[in-house]
Parts: sequence; C-alpha cells; structure tokens
Amino acid sequence: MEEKNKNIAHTPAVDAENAAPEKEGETAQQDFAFLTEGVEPKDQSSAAEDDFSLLIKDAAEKAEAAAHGEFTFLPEDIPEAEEKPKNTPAEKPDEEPAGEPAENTAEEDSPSEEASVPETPESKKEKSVLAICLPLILICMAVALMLSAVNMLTKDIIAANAAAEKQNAVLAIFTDAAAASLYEKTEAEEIYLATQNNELVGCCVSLSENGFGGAISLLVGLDTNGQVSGIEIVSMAETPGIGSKTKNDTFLNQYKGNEPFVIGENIDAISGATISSRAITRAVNRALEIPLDFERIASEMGLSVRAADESQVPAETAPSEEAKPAEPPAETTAVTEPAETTAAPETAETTSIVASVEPISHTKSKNPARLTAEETVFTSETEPPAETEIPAETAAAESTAESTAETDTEAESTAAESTEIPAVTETENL
Amino acid sequence: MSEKPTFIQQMKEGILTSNPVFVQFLGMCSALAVTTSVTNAIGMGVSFTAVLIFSNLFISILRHIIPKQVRIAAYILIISGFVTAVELLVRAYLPALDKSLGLFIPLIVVNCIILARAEAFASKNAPLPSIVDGLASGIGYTLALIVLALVRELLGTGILFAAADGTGGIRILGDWYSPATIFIMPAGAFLTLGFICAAFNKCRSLVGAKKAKRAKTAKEVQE
Repeated sequence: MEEKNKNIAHTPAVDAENAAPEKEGETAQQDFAFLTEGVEPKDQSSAAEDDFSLLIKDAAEKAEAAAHGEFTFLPEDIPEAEEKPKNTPAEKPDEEPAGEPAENTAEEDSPSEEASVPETPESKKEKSVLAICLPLILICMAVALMLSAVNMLTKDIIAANAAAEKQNAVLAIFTDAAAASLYEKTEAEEIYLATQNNELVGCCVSLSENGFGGAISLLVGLDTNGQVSGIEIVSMAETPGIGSKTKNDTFLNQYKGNEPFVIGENIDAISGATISSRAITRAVNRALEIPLDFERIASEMGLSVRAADESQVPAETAPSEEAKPAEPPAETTAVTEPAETTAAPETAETTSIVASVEPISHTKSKNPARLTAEETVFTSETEPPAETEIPAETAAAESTAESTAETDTEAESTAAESTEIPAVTETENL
Repeated sequence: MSEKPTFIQQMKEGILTSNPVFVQFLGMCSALAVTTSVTNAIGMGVSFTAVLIFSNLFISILRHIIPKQVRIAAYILIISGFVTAVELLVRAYLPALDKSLGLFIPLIVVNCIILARAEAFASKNAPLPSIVDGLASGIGYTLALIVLALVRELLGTGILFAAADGTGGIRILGDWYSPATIFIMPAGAFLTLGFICAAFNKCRSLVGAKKAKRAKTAKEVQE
C-alpha cells in the first residue's frame, strides 16, 4: 500500500527529472520506469490482481509503444490520432494522459508518418486564414448592406418624426401659436420661433443637461419679454417615481419669470430628486442667459413682434431695452419714465439687459442677458430697465444718448457685481 | 437525445423547464433594468422575441458556412445587425413605442440569451426547429419579465400598466398604500428576482418529485 501511495504521489514531471540521465535511445523507457516502479517490489503474482497496478502497467506499455511511434492501441476511427505528435491534442480527450510525455520524444518519428496520413478537411492546421476570414467578411458585407437599406428606408421618416415632435413641443408651450420653426442651431442649443399670423409670439430654446440617469432634453419657452413662459421636457431617463416627478406641472410651473432660478430660494426641489431638479434648474438658467433680441429676430424673419402677456411679468422691471443704433425709441422711453426707476434698487440684482445680441459677452453676467427690443408703442407699456448693465463693447457701439439716460439710473443702483462696471462708468462720460 | 423534440416539447422547455431567466439565469441585465413597469416589460419582450427568432433563423441557415473559429464574431454580427434594424424600424414606424422603449432596444444586443440559443441550438439544427426554439425562449423571457414587472410596479408604485414616461396607468393600491420605492430601484430588482426564482424552482422541484413518484408507482404496477 505504501508503495502504491508513493506511486500516486509522484508526478511524471518530478520523476522524469529524477530519472538518471539517459542516452537518447533509452530516454523513453527510463522515463516511464516510474510507472511500474511502485508496483514491482510487490509480489509479481499478486500485482496482476490489483486493478490499479494493472492500469498502471497498461499505461506504461502504451506509453512505451507510443514512444516508438506505434499507435496501434488507439481506436482506428480517429484519423487525427496519427498526427498527434504534431497537433496539440486539445480536442482529443480519449488520449491517455501518459501518452503526452511521449509526444515530445516521438516527434522525430512523426514526419515519416505524416506523409501517409490522409488530411481531413476539418483539421485545423489545414484551414488557411483566408478560408476562415472570408465567410466572416461576406457576412459583414451582407449585414452592412441590409443595414444601409433599412437606414435609407427610414432616415427621412425618423427626421420628420423628430422635427414634428419638436414642433408639437413648442406648440404645447405657446398654445396660441400656430407654427414653430427652427431659427438657429448651435452645438449646445437650438432656438425655435413660435409664430402666429406672421407675429412672433415667443421662442423656445431646446437644450439638454445631464440629470441623474442621463441627458434631460427640454424646451424652455421664452415670451417676447424674455420671461420663461413654460417648460416642456422632451426626453429624460430619470428614475421613475422619483426623478420623473420633475416632469410634473407642479414642479415645472415654478419656473416663471426671468430671475435666475436657485434651488432653495425661488425653486423647491423634489425631495429625493436633487440631481434631477438641479439639472432642470441649470438648463433653465442657461436658456435665460442666451441673448435674444426679439426685435432683431422678428425683422430678420419678416415678422412682427407680439406684445407679451403682461400678467406673466413679475413685479420687477421687465427688461426692455434695445441695442441697435437703428432703433431710437427705447431711450426716449427710459427718459420719459423716470418715476419707475425707483423700482430699480429692489431689482438691482435681478434684471439686466444686454444691449446687443452678441452671445459671447454674457456668460459672466449674473443676470439673464436677454434683450427685447420693443416698438415705441410697446415700450410705453412696460417699465423701463431700472438698472441695466451694458457690456463694454456694446455700450461703446451704441448711440450715446440712450446709454447716458440708462446708465444714469443704473449707476445709482447697481452694485459692483458685474464685471461690466468699468464699461458703464466709461459710457457715463460720453 | 437524438430524437428531435416536438413543438410542444420545445415550447415547454423554453417557457418552463429551461426558462432563460428563472432557470438558466441568462439575460439578467435587461430583465432587471426593464421591469420597472409592465408596459416596458411587454415591449421589451416582444422586440426581443422578434430579434431572437430572426437571428436564430439566419444563423441556422448559415450554420454550415460559418467557420467555427470565428463563429462568435459571426453570431454577434448577425445579432447586432438585426437589433439595429429593429431599432430603426421602430423609430420610424412606431414612434410612440420608441418613446417608451427607446433606450432598451439596443440593450438586446448584450442579452446573453440570444448568443446562448445561437450557440446551443441554432448552429446545430435546421431552420424550422430553430425558429420554434427562438419563439419558445422568447416567450419564456417575456413571461418572466412580465411577472417581475408586475411585482415591482405594483409594490413600488401601486399603479399598474403606466406608460413608460410614468403617466397614466391603473391605480390598484389606493392612497392608503405608501409605495415602497425600493422595488423600483436596482436593489428591489435583485430582491424580487431572487424570491421569484426561488419560488419558481421550488415549484419545479415539487412537480418533478410528483412526476417521479408517479413514474415509480406506475413501474411498480407494471411489475
């Protein structure tokens, strides 16, 4: 028993190493001596009765036969067996493990056998790389063809669907508008105009912000005063029941007016959906920051500007200043209504108008930098801009008269919050 | 094993004895992600079944041509081709469904079930049995998803059959029920899946034991 146990403990590798250094011809035999090592000390006659020792003996004989290149003990219907020395026998489970060490030593014998071995079409080493890749390439081409056909079929329909969706969303915000059209498209946002009877009712800014579950795409409707008149969420992937509550009207109706929205101050977030709420707030603030000169846009598109609904305008001054030198009315309005400038101090922080439609200058300004230019008739209805921050470049470009009028009022009330202050003081001297 | 399974046998295998989700534990990612509402589950299951049937069919047709060294690459090619085609067609002709399911249809590519069925069945059998196999596995998957979604949506929101954007639906549990939102979240998904799998497999083993007992008594009667 102990010898048997010792035998089991030996690994072929260990024993091959321990075997005495052999001459070449005897290598195989000596290598496999270990297999019968443990068996021999036993009584020879009784060794045959032991099942395990029989197995070992059998394996040893076969190994020796294999070492001499004789594979007659293998079943005949496996043609690859004769090529065994060359192939790594990964797929031949019927091979005895003891046969493997014979591989290396038998390699010298194999070339002579190779020639007589019939090559099966399935054997791995015979299939060239091209034979393997060609079907794959053909399948690739077929799939690509199928996809491009489907794409051709559906591309226009998808584009039309997307455009119709946006249209519907715009019309959902401006319920009295009849049509919506794309005005401007930049990388970050798209601007749609809502029109009715050749009148510009308002515009919608389509933009997206990253929420909790991905991008939230929404439309912010701005009426011609530059106030937020409605929000429509086009797509969102927020957690249902939690973040998706930001779609509810009760939440979205908080965004009215044109002040920058701050959670905790003028916006109540949805509990448990901080990130979603923040994302929407960020998006609306971003939309408010876009300078939109409704007058200019309207004249560009050949529309007239409809007066915005006054009820939506909050108590503070509605921004109503225009920048173009070609339009003088605003200055007169500002001058004629000095009484209302007293409202300025209260709203100092919240209202500011950019005198031009250059988009680049306004990212720093704390206040929304929309610009709405109204016709003379219109401006008389609205309160003048009590404090207006005029960015440096635009101020210089504008007609001095109007600037002076406004910057006067502004100078008293505006705190040094904006980087535009130096410019303002500069224009004062004009 | 060598006899071809009949239609009924294949269906039973796909839906009950080898249900892809509850028994084979395949396709778990989409099963957990999509089942926040029953409408999503149904939509996903239907589009999945369509992709599975077509990919099984074509892989079965091409099974002699695809070399086995690159078979996985070939299967993935065919499967993702079909998924993209289905996605484009849904977006063009069923925009309402696309709004609900938009994100989940591309997820079908990473659904292990399709690859598993292709490798285990479609690559070794004729087209017609492959179609049936696809149908069986697809129905099994869809039913599994519906069961999961029923539990999750009911306990998580109290509303059933809400549209994918969260609106509408039938309120089953009234206002007295304060929804256990955890069921809508991933943790709840795993919990639900675990319990339902346990129940399903318990039933299976009970049925199996009963059958074995019946077979034994029948044999005894024979003897």
